[in-house]
Amino acid sequence: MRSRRSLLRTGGLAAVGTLGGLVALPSPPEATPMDQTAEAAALPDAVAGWTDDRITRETETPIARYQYRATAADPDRTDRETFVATSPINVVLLPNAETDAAGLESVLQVLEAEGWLRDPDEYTRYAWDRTEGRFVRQQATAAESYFGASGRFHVRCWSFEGTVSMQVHEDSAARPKHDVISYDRGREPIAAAFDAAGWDVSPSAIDLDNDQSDHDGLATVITEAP
Amino acid sequence: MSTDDRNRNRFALRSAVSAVLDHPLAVLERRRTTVAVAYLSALIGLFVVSYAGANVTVDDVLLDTLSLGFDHVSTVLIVAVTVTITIVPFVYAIWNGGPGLAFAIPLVPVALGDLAAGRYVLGIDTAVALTAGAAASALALYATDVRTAGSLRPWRTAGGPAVPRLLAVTVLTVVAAFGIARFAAAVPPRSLERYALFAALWLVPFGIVASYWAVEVRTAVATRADHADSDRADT
Repeated sequence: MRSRRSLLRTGGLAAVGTLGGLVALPSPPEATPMDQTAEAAALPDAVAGWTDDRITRETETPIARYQYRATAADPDRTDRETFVATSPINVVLLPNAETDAAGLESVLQVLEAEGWLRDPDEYTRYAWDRTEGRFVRQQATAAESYFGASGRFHVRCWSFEGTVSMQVHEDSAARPKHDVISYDRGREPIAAAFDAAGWDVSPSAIDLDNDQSDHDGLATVITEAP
Repeated sequence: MSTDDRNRNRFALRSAVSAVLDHPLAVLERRRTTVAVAYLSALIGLFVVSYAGANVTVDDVLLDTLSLGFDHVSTVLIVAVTVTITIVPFVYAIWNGGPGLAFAIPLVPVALGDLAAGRYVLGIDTAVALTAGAAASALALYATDVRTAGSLRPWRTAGGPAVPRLLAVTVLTVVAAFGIARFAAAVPPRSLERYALFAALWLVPFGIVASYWAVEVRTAVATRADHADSDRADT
C-alpha cells in the first residue's frame, strides 16, 4: 500500500503539472464574428474613376485582377505566357500610408489583431505589376492557421501604387490536401475585421470582371479612415 | 576538453536519450519509440525545406520562385501535418502505448507553425491537436493495460495501472479540456463549426479516465472500510 507521503508527493506533482500546463496554454484569438455586418461606407475619391465601368485589363488601374501561378521554374516574369490565372482578386484596400510596404503592414496588423498568422504554409503565387511590367511574388500573406488542416481563411496581398489587391478565399480542410471552397465567404471575415478596426467598407464596389466559381466579379473596397 | 571528458559526456548524453526513449510515458517497445521519433524528425525536415523556400534567398531571389517543387513540398507537408494531428497519435497509442509521446505528437507540427509565424495562439489547428493528443494519451494508457491484463476492461484487474501514468493522463486531459473550453468560449462560430467534427473524440479520454478513477476510488473506499472493520475487531 502506498504511504501517505508517497500519495502526497504524487498528488503534489499532479497539481504542479496541471498548473504548469494551464499556464503554458496559449490564448485563443479574439476574432470578429463574420456575421457582424459591415455598414456600407461611401466610396473614397481615390476609386471614383474605377467604379463607372468594368475593369477588364490590368493596365487600366493599379489593381491586380487575378493571382497567377508560374508554369515553369524560374519563369520570365515579364512573359504573360508563362503564368496562369488561378484566383480572382476580390478585395481592394486603400491604406493611409506613405509607401506600399507601410500600407501592407497596416493591412496585416489588422489581421494579426484578429489572431491570423503571417506567412503561413502556402503555394507561391504572383500578380501583375503594371508599373514594372512584370509578375511579382506575393508580398504579404496571412491565414487563420499556419497549415489549415481543418480549413481556414487565407489571403495574399500585393500593393502597387498605394493600392492593395487582396485575394481572400476559404480553404477546405485538408482531406488530404485543401482546395478553395469559397471566394464569396472569404470576403465576409475581412469586411467584419476591417470594419471592427475602424476602416470604411464598401461591398461590391468595383467590377473587376473576374467572376469565377462563387465570386461575382465585384471587389469589396476597404479604406483606412484618415 | 580531454578524450576522457568527451567520452564521459557522450556516455551521459546516451544515457539521457535512453532514459527518455525507455520512459513509461513514451514507450512499450524502445524500437517503436525510435521509429516515432524518426517520423517526427522527417516531418521537421520537410517543414524546414518548405520554410526555407519562402524565406531563403539566392542572389536576392527567393528559393520558391526558382523551382515549382516547393509547391509540391507544401502539398506533402500539409497532408503530413494533417495526418500527424489527426491519425498518427492514435496509431502510435495503439502500437506503442506511450501516453506522453501520444499527446506530444500532434502538438509538434502546431508548435512548428507557431514558431515560424512568431505567434502563440490557440487556433483551430492547436485545438484539434490538443483534442487528439488527450484522446490518444488516454488510448495509450488503455492499450498498454489491455495488453498487460489480457482484458478489455483492464481497470478491473487487480494491480491495474500504475497510478503515476493514470495521473499523468488525467493531468493532460484536464489541461487540454481547459484549453478547449477557453477556445470554445472565445472563437467565432465559424471556428466552432470546423472543430465540431473532433468534439466527439472527448468521449475517449473522459470515458477511459473516468473508468480508471471509478475503480481507484472504489478500491480506496473498500480498503478504508476493511481497515475500519479490522480496527473494530481489535477493540
